[in-house]
Amino acid sequence: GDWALEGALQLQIINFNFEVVQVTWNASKFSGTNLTFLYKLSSDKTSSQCSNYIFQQSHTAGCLLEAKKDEILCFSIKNETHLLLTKCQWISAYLKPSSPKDLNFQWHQEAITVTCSDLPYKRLLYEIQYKSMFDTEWQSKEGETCNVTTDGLDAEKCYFFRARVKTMESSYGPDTYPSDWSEVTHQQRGELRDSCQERKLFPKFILIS
Amino acid sequence: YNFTDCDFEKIRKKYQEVIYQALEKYMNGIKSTEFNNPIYCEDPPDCLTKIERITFYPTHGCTSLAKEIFAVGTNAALTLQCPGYSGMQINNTQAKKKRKKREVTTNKCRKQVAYLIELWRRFSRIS
Repeated sequence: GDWALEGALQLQIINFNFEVVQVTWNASKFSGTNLTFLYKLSSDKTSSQCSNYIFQQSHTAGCLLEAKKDEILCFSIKNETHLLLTKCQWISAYLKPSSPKDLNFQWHQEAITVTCSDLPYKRLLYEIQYKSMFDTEWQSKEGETCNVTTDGLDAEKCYFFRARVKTMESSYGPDTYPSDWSEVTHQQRGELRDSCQERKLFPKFILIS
Repeated sequence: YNFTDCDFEKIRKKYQEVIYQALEKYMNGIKSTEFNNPIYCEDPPDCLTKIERITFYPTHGCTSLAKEIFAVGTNAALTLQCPGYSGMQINNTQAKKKRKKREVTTNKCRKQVAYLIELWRRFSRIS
């Protein structure tokens, strides 16, 4: 059935932040033919052929679609003679949120509140990770909005911070992707740092004359 | 029944706390995305209308969902949070607390529950 072909085609769907949906396949098992991608979003009146194919070794290997909102995508993949696969799914099932930007930090004694702008759709988890320069492992804290407070920090130490967005499985299912991590930010004594370099106590070379 | 006046936030919480696990447990590891053609619902009232129909009204090949734990949870949520909703009469002894001798879960029922999972997910994303 479709499941076997889906495996053979190595189908992958990624919904980039409800902006672009990327469907990719591996046609090598179909003697390198140019597969055709036809699709219809629930808000479309008719089906249409892909207008933005992705090519690999000059054969079609995927399609980029403009996504407008949370809706159902139905598509079919054909070779010259046969319909290989048809599939209909909510595009939210394959969501990859965009990574958090413009992280903001507010220190209060030994706690820090990290904020950033929430994405325009719901049921997400904003994950903040932090570690000091003496830690090897990141520590994690999550919140349903991008306003996460972490306590028990030592304001004197220099800390690394990063953030990403995940989806709630009960609202999006198990096939989504976490966002990429934000850039790492460094903080010490309540101020932004370019990096968390160890201060060298002794210079490397001592000139004895 | 028109589900427009329900307290969607409270229903969503009941879904996340109770109904979601019961639906996943029913599917026993089978992903809802293994079934094609999910049912679309536009807004929370539309989603609840379709959830109620699939949960409580038997279809050909799947006549028994109303007794499942997720159905009991759904009935409780709608009865409590939707003014004037009288709810389905589910005989408590029928409701399966423990799935002892279980009717065979037909693939047709799994397909219906896959629809429910997608509808509940959609409902929780937009309410």
